[in-house]
This record gives sequence, C-alpha cells and structure tokens, in this order.
Amino acid sequence: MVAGTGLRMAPVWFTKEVIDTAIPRADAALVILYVVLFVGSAFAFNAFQAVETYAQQFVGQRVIYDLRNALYAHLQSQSMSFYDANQTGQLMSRVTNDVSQVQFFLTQGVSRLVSTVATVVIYLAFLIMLDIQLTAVTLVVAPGIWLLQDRLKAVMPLMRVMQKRMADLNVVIQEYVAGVKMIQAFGREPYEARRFDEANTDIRSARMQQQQLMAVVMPGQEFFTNVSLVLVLVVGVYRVMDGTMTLGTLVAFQAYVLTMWMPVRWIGMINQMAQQAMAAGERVFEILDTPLEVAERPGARPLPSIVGRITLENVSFAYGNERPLLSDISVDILPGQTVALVGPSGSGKTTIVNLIPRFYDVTSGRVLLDGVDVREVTLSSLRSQIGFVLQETFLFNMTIRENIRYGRSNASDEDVERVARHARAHDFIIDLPDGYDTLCGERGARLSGGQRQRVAIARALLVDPKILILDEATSSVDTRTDHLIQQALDVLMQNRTTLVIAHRIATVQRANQILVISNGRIADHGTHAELLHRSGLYAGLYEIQVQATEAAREELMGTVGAAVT
Amino acid sequence: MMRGGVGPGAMMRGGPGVWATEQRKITTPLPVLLGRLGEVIGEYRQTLTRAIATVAVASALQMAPPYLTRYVVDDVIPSASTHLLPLILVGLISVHATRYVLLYLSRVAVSAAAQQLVYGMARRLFEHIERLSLRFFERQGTGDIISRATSDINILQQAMQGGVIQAAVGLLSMVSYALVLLVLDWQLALLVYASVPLLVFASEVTSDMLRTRYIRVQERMSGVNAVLAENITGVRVAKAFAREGEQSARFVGRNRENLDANLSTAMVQAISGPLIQQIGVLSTGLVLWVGAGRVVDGTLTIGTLITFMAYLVTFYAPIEDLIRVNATIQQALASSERVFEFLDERSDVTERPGAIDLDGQRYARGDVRLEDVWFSYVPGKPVLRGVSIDAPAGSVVALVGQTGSGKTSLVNLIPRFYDVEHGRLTVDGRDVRDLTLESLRRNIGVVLQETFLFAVPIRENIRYGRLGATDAEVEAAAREAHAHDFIMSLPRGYESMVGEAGVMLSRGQRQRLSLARAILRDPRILVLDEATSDVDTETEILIQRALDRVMRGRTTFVIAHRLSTIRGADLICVMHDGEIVERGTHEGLLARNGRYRELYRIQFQGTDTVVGAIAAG
Repeated sequence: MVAGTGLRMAPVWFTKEVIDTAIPRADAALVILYVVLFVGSAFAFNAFQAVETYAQQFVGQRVIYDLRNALYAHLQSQSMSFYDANQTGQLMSRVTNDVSQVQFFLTQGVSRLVSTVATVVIYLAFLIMLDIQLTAVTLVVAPGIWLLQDRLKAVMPLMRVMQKRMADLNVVIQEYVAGVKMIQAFGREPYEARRFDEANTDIRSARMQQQQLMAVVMPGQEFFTNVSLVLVLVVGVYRVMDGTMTLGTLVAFQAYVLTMWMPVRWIGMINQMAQQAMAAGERVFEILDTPLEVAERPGARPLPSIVGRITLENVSFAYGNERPLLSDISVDILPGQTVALVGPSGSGKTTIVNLIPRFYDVTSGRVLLDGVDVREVTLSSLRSQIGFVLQETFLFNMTIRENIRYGRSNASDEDVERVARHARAHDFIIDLPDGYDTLCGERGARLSGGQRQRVAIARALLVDPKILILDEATSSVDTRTDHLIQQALDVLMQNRTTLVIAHRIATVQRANQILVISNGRIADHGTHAELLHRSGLYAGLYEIQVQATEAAREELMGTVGAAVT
Repeated sequence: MMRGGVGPGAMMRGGPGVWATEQRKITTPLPVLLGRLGEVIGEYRQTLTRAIATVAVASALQMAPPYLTRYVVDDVIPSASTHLLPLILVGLISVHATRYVLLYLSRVAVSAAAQQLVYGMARRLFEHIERLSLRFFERQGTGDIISRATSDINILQQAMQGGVIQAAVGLLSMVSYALVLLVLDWQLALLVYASVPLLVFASEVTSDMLRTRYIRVQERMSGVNAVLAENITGVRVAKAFAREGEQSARFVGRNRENLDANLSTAMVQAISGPLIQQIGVLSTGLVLWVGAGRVVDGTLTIGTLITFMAYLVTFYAPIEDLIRVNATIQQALASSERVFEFLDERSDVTERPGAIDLDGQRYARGDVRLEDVWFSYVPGKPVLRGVSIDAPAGSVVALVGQTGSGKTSLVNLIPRFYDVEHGRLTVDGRDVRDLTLESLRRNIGVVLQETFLFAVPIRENIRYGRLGATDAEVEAAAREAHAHDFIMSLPRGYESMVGEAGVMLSRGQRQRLSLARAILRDPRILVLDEATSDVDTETEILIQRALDRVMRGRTTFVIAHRLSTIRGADLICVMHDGEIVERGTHEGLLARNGRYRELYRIQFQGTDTVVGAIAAG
C-alpha cells in the first residue's frame, strides 16, 4: 500500500522535474529521461494497482463466501422450533440480501477506505516535508469534511428498515410462488400486489432519505476539497511572490493536494456503504447469535447400534411459555412392536413422534432409546437409526435415484432398485422417460402424490432403520395406488419398532399397542379389543370408520345382488 | 409447489431452467436495453434530463478555476499585483459554492428518478409475474424468481444511485476539458485526442466482458437462492435422515460457484481498469515531451504548459471513476437484462380485449360445459383427449380414476389456470376465454388437497375468500366448515397466526380453514380437488357434512379417491389416460361391471379385513 502510494506520487514528481530542471536547462535528453521515468513509474503504479485490486476483491469475496457458509451451517443446526417461528423468505433474505450488503462494503468499500487512508497519510507526510505552512492551509477544511460524515450516521437506521422490508419482499414472492394456485383461484393478485407494494414503497422511501443525505454530503466534500485547493493557490502565490517558494514547487504542491483529496471525495460513499453493511450485518449476526435449542452436548457420544426400545418417561412439551402441547406422557415400546397413535386432529400425535429424533427437545421428562437419553448422543447417530415416512412427502429437486439414496448416500444402484421394488415404486419409475434419472421437480412436484409416497418409502427402506416413524397418509391416492402403498408399508414395518400415526382401522388393529391421545395426554392405551370395550373415545373413532365401511359393503352387496337378479 | 397441479406430462420435462446456472451470452443489444430502461423512468425522464443539464453547468463551472490559475501564474505573479489575490479568492470560492448548489440539486433530482425507476421495475416485475399462468411457475424455480425480484433489482438500484450521476459528471467534465485543451493549445490537444478512440475501444471490450461475467454472477446467485429455498423448506427431511452434511455440501457448492463467478469478474475488473488508465499515462507522457520541447523552442509559454498539464490531469481524472462506475453500470445492465427477460415472458392465459363480465347482465348461473377438450403440458403429449362434460347449474360431477389419468388437469381448466388447446370450456354458454379472469374466478371456489395458509391471522386467511366479509361472516363460514371450535380452542382464537411461522395446525384443521374460505366466497361453481384426503376419519366425516351443505345449489366438480365421498354425484366420470371411459351415476356404473366397479371393489377390499373383524368380533 505504501509502495503503491509512493508510486502514485512519482509521476507528478517527474513532471515537476521537467518544468523546474529540464526546461530551464533546455536539455532535450533530460526531458526524454524524465518523460520515460514519468511513463514508467505510472505504468508500475497501474500494474501494482491491478494486483492490489484483485487481492482485495479476493479477500473480500472469500470472507463473504465463508460468512454465507457459516450462516447457512448455523441455520441448518437450528431445531425445528426455529423453523416453525421463521418464514422461509425471511431466512433466505438474511443469507442472500443481507450478506450481499456486507459483501458490497467489503469488496467495494474497504479497499477504497484503505487506499484513501493510505493516500492521505502518505501525501500528508510528503506535503509536510515540502512545506509545512501550506500543509496547514490545506487542512483548514478537514473539520468540515468530518462534520459531513457525522450526518451520515442517520443512514444506519434507514438501512435497518430497508433490509427488513427487503426480507418482507422476499416473503411475499416466496409465498406467491408457493401458493400461486390459491392466489389465482381466489383472484387475490391485487392483495398480494399491495403487500408487495407496501414493502417496496417503504424501501423507496428509506432510499430516498438516504439519498437526500448523500446529496448534502457528496457535493459538500467536493466543495471543501476545492476550497482547500483555492486557499493553497492564493497563499502559495503570495509565497512565490515573496520568493519563499518556487513556482514549480507550488504547481507540484497543488497537484499533490489535488491527488490527495481525490479519494476523499469517495469517503461519504464509503461511509454510507459501511452504515448499510452494519445494518445488514446486525441481521446476519442476529441469526448467528441465536442459540441452538437442540444442540449436541459437549462430549456427546455416538448412539451404538440399537435394538429399538423406545421409552418416554413423564414427557411434557410446550413452545416457550405457551400452553403445553403434551403433558406427562409415559410409554414403553419394546423392540419390534408396532404402536399406533390415534386421536382427534390436533391432539398431539405428531408432537410425540417429533420428540424421538429430537426435532424438538422435551420440556420435562425423558425420551430414551434402549435406555439411553436421546440428549446424550450425537444427533447424526440418533437420526440415522430412525426412519421416517412423513405425511407431507418432501422430495428434493434431484433425480429419483438421488432421492432414494438420500438416506444412505453410498448405496449401490442395485440397492436403490431393490428397495424401489419393495416399495412398489420400481414399475412406475422405469415407465418414466428418464427412469431413475428423472428429476423430481421442486418439492417433488413432477411426481403425483402416490408416486412421491412410494419414493419416500423406498428412501426409508434403504436406511434400514431399527425404529420407524410413520405418519400414515395414504388416502390422497387412488385405491389401486393405495393398495400398492399399503403393501410397501407392510414390507417397511417388518422387524422394526414402528410408531404410526394411524388413520386406518386395519393398521390400528394390527398394532401391538394403541395409544389414544387426547389434548396432549394419553387418554387410554391397550389393544384394539381392550380399547373397544373400555374407551369411549376410541369406540367413537372406530364407530365412524366402521359405519363408512359398512355402508360401502352393503351398497356393493346390494348392487351386486341387484345385478345378479 | 404445485402438488396435484402437475400431471404426468410435466414429469417428462428435463432439468434446465430449474437452476438456471448455464452461462448465457449477452442477448439484448445495449441501445435496446437502455431504451427500455428509459421507458421505465417515464415521467421522471424530464427530471433526469434537467438534472443532467444541471450537472453540465456545474461541470462547465469547473473549468473556471484552472483558467484563473493560468492567469495567476502568467500575469499576476510576474506583475506582482497582490491586490488581485483577494478578488481571485472570493471568485474561486463563489464558483465552488455555486457548483455545490447545482450538484446538490441534480443529486436530489437524480435520486428521485433513480428510486422511482427501481421501485417501478420491482413493481412491474411482480405485477407481471402475477399475470403469468401456472406454466411459468412449473418451469421457473422459486430461487430464480426471488433472485430476480430482489437481488437483481438491488443491483439496479446501486448503479442508479451512484452510477448515473457519476457517469454523467465524469463524461461531461471530460468533454468540457477536451474543449479547454483545444483552446489552450490545439497541437497538444490533438495529441490528447488521439488517445480517445483507444479509450473508447478498450472500454467497450471490457464492458462486454464485464457484462457477460455479471450475468453469470447473478445466475450463480439464483443457484444459491434455489438451494437455499429448497434446503429450508426440506429441512425436516434433511434432519430426519441426518443428511445436513450433504445439504450443506450442496449449498457450499453453489456458494463456491458464486464465489468463482465473482472472482472471475474481479479479475477482469482488476486488469482492465489500470490497463485503460495506461492509455492516459502514455498520452500525458507524450504531451510532456512534446510540450517541453516547444517551451525550449519558445513556441509555448511555460505557463501554458503548466496549465495544460493541470487540465490534462483533470481531463483524465474522471477515468478512474468512470472505470469503477462502468463496472457498476455493466452489472446493472446484466441485472436489468434478467429482469426484462421475465417482463418479456408472455402469459398464455390472458384476457381478451373487450372481455366480458360473467355477472354482467345477470348473476352467473354456473352451467359448465366442456366440449371436446384437449390439453397438454408438453406439445404432442396430450393429457386430456377430447373430454366432453355437461354440468348444468347445481349439478355435482365427480371425477375418478388413477393417478395421472388427468383429473386435476381437467379441473385446472375451469378457473383458467391453463387454457384448453383444442375444444372449448364454457360457463353459462360463454367461452371462458371471452370472460374477464376476475369475474370468472370470482364465481369459482377452489379447495385443494394441499392447503396453503398465508402467514397472517386465521381470520385473514379465511377472509381471503372474500375480502369485504365482516368478522361475523368469517365466523359463520368457519362454523359451517366445522372449524370454529378448534379455532376457539387456540390461545388467540381467530387472531392466531398461521402459515409458515404460525401455530402448527394439523392437516385436517388446515383443510377445514380452506373450506371455510371457499364457503365465505359463496361461489356458483365449486372445485374440490381431493378435499377430504389425508385426514382422520372423524375429520373427514365433519368435512363431508360441511361439503354436503356447501355443494347444495352449486355446480361442483369433485375429485376424490374415497368413493363414499362421491356416491351422491349426479354424474361420475371415470377417467383413464386423459379420456372419460365410463360415465353415469353410482348405481348405474356399479351395475355395468366395468372399470368403476373394479375401482370400487379394490376400495372395498382394502377395508375387507375390518369388516371381517367386525363380523367375527
């Protein structure tokens, strides 16, 4: 940097030498020498600048790259309750927009700031050596420039608003894309447009105010630097007339002052970038500083291969200070058993199964696998022994093969096909033009609901977990597909401890144990036969299903009878 | 994104466009691009013109100080007329003060125009996206759409904010100093001018290089966005399979690509800037050499040479800024090209000029007719093949058939999510393409399998069905959809936030909200796409009861896999491979011993064991 600034000064020096030395001596050779030195030093300076610019960009971009990765890694280690509380669009905005603002400052601002400071310091030293009195005159305007910077403090609050509203824009768009069908069906485009416009208007107004400030500051800086040049000229001319300074020195001095002030005119811009980066940086660090709710204990050891016993001891769960969603749940599930959870919707069935892989941590009580508290083992060793087929089948926008392999990335193609066959998915997959290499689309949108489910079952099969968590959701498909899925699930449940949120009586009947959940408590438990006699709630649920089935049967029998006669 | 909305045809589509990471060349010629940006500025164009004129005056004023400097060196110093100096001091400072005022005014004006442009672009972009049909959303990834509407627009704003005025100031001052040089000494000036074509050529080359690279940077940013969107929405699966490491690797990969694109741009920027400056250095060196020679010859005064050199420094000074600004401007042009690309996207579902209001002369009745309707997602692969259905007002049409047989594709045509390819679809005898979209959709209530809730209170989510509804109406609709009780059991009742960051609702609860929404809308036509699926039996029965009431007096198209849901339909259409293979009533179809009966039998078998158990138990 110092060398660079030195180089920057050299050409001006050689110009001075041409005027003060070569011309008075009428020495053509000397002129050529100085001109060559002038061009050469300028060339060296430019080359130096190229290297410097790239180096600074490199460092800035690297820092941003690392920051984005760190932010992403931190986001990913958050528990599900973090994701329940934050919208996708908001989180995305922090990783993209906010980091980009920091990036803008680091790559554009910092290098300018450094070169400005270096230029001013080195030139000042040089100016002082040339003429201390004239240097003092030069600096008369410095407080003015400083005062202007003070006004830019107002930028940061404006930028906070702006970054927040940028995130809101992100949310509107993300929601629009996710809910496009609903929005179009209900003709709510004007409403969405208004939501967008509100955020967009706020952004415009924040930027307008920021620009008003800049309109005062930027020309202001130029004004002060120009005034400084005028003062130097006038005082310098007096000195030349006095004979206490040569004309050449004055010309060179003026040129130095000009070059010194040149980058200072950018200082307001840099300052503004810094304010903006700080506002955005705050938002980035807000995420980075969010403590992990479900974190591995220091020294957590891997969970050894389990046989699959699940024990819940007096488990309660609530979000923050809200009403508890689960209270005092205790249950012991033996390896290989199938336990069905039944109950009205919203009773807490899903919450119970979410605690086993530690998507959330219990508020009180314990969850034990083979007698080991889940909070004492590493998350990856815990989760890799649990298989999931969730109600909302989520596939990634990768090929079907990659989606199946998701749970065990080193599985061979043969293994993938084998589990696909077991999951009754192989046939439809090879019917697709690209077979196993078919892309699934965002969230698997290119596959039908039934197809997605079978891919998800294959995915769980490949993991071959000891514990299976099944959120039964098989009715979104036609009856034939339903049949196939049922077969696939039967394969999947073999030899595993299975916890199933059941909607079908057939599943419930086969279960070793049924837990009837109501208002976050286990209202009753037992086998189908026991519960049918004992539990009013269970009998009620059962009755409804039976009625539907009976009605169907009677009707079929009836029409068959009619058709026969 | 659109579960159930994408038929098997869409599966066949290949991958590109989803990530949009392949490199693209510059496609829009610069003048066209600038012209289009100019259009967006619209009413602010005059403001901008005035602002630039103001800058021109300010730049002209900038020429005065060096002129005075020459006067001082050549005349004041030799004559030792000290009394002139205070005058010169005051004169110079007033020139600068005037410039300050002019620059302030032009900055204010430019920032108004710039912010309006950016605001207008963002608004236009979103409103345009809103007009696009589902085809666009099938093809374009969420990440890419978000990226263009936020990141690209931001870049545009960064450039407009600083770039335009910097560029105008820089160029104008170069022009004015070029004139001054000519007046000072035409021979030396010509030497300087010789460098200009070189400068122009060099900057054109670098501009193109930068723009191509910036387009790539933005595309990579879209890639980061895409993975981010997917990883955040799929976080539960990633956690369930303990695959955070791999997810992270995907993100880091995209981030790395973005870094590489940025560094490649930085390389061009780092090399090109100083290279262009070098042209100025050579030309200055030449002037110094020739000028010094002429001073020695006596054909040039030393004062002129000094002044010329001073002007030359100021002539070339803006280059450094211009190079910087040029990078920003190229970046903005790259971004605006990406924005225009979306703005140029034409919706295939548009309103005809002079489209009529469905409720124009009298309220809509709700007669729906499909006449020989063909439809495909991919040309040449029809998913609907000559479907005809007549649904008089108030009738219930049930669609049954296997996954992928075209049921969802069919009902998607009724609210014109897509347009038919051949044949026509009429409501009350009018082709839907002749109706205003608003009036058509106003008369249709849709309940989808996938209930989308917005991140607003429950009350607002229900009100989504009809914006003007009172709170009492919202609650009445919720009661009718059997949602009122569970809503009241939530701590904050109707004010509970739902959606992404809201309270966790079960699927059955969400479906009842969606139903309440449709009830509130009070439509003539109801489309139920698997509305009762994936819920427990009790909820299903609740929903079914609500539906029975809601369907009364409305034309209803219902897709359901539970045959119990559709037993009461006036017409059941059995679909297979995009065609209706059987149609009739439940009894009639069962008696026919065909495909419907087969479907019914399988359904019955599925529950056979239960019935057996009851019989035994």
